[in-house]
Amino acid sequence: MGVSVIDGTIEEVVLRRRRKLNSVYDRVMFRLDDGSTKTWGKSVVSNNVADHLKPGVKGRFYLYTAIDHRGIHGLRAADGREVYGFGKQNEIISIVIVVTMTLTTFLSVTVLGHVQLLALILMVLGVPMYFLYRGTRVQAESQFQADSGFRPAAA
Amino acid sequence: MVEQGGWTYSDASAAATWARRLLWADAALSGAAIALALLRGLDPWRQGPADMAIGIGQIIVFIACAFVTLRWLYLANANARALGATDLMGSPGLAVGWFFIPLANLFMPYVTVRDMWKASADPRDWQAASASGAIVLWWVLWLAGNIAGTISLRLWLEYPKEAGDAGEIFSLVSNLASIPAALILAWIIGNIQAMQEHARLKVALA
Repeated sequence: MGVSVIDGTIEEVVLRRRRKLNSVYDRVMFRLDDGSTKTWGKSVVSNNVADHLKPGVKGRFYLYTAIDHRGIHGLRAADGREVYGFGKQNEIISIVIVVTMTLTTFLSVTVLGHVQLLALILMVLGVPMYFLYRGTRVQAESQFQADSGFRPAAA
Repeated sequence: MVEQGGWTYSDASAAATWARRLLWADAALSGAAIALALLRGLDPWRQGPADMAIGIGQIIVFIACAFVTLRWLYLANANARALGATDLMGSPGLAVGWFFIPLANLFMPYVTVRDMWKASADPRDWQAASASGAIVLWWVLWLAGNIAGTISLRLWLEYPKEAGDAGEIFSLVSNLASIPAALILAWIIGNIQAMQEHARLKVALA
């Protein structure tokens, strides 16, 4: 649950699949300035950012983690490219779960006369999930904007 | 003193040792429960004082084991961060908390322990490290043991007269799964602890 940055050069990109709005990577490996490597494991990246994730791209990469999801939401490349993108799919899924499970709970209480435990648990868990995913997106946006003055050294 | 990112390495070896001892005791008691059940021909109506003593012992050891293991989990998770593992999920508190969150407790504790293994093997680039397959095995056995145990308990509580053989069989399955689950977890704890101590020495000497 949070955001971070990596300053380095992409050394390896292993794409698992590309979907309509985003791409899922098995891993993206970076070579840091001190010569060590850092790998960003299974991650979800908006396609507008994914289009720029190629081996050899140098710059600052903006990363996030939310529950068991992680991704790359921004890039400021040494050649001047700047790109940001953060998918809202998890937020939407969370809110859909909360709404449908609230309706299910309401109907089961009023019509069947008892509480559906699974629906109740999903309803209760959906609320913090939604705020967590939303909070991470807001944090990611703020992080990228706050760093707008940063210009990576040219390759 | 080893510290990074606001986390300070603290000695978790005593917690690891006690967690492993209690897990071995848990496995031994499960073995004793199985032996007793087999000796009375899986007849639940022939349970005696020995079965009750083993059952009470299992509850006491389980509670002690849970407390010490979760304490170790918290310390080891914080230590992985102190050794330089960044971007680990959540916090050490959440690593423990996952066990108590409904539905999430079906898979998040596994993810936490898997990531801790990787972060202990190579704190600087932990996402590139691989985790032992024993962690998946532990988690599958742990879930199987818990599910079978819950079914057995519910049968005895809700249908005390009819539960009979079915309750006994589920109890047997629960104990059978609990033995390897406890032994594998003890092995995992020992390995993570050893990897962290090795990494701590490397950082301290650097």
